[in-house]
Amino acid sequence: MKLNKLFKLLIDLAFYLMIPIVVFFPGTILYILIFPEQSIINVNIPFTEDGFGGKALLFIILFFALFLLFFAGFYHLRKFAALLFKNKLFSKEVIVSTKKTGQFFTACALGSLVFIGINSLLTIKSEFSITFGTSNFNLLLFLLIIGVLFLLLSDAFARALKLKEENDLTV
Amino acid sequence: MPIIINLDQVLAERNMKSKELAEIVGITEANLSILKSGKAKAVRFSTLEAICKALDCQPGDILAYSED
Repeated sequence: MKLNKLFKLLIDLAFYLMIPIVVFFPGTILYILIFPEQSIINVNIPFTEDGFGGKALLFIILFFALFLLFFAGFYHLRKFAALLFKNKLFSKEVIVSTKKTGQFFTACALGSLVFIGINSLLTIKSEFSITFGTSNFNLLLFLLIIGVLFLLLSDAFARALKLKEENDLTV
Repeated sequence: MPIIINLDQVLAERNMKSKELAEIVGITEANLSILKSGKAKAVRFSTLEAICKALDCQPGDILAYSED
């Protein structure tokens, strides 16, 4: 199997697995808001000790907004994978899709870092814990690196396209 | 672009057609058209040499510089 085919397949798989979350998440939250006493959905959201209040709702909205940023980044990554599959490597569409992927991933990672920072400040328990292995912080830092890498890739593709155009117009 | 291509003028003086020049030089008519219209970003020395040889002229007869 060609690498670009595998790349597109993996991204398609991850993208379609994310769609149910985007589609059903708002409805589920609305259901919890309308029926706070429900017992069908096991709610594991912080700030819900005294019921589903404003703090919990804000937490959920911010969480969903950050997820949407990640999803939008993935949508553009899927576009990039499709162009790669069609061998349209040096085109304006590739530059735009890599740039948008980078912007969305970077925004999602930065937003999430601020989000978990504020969340840990609000839920501080006067405890200090060290996590071994891959923590949320490490994953978000990795996402930030990927975001910046895509921005650099976009810049590299823009330079490559300029060089290609110059080469095409050399007689 | 401040570089002007006077190829049309030199071709007219030599009574030569673009198609004929493209065949002698060994480039496509489309590429010659890019060169004549001033859309070309660069000219290879080998192409310039072949054009000068075919038209019996100097590079300065084909290329000129003018400030915008």
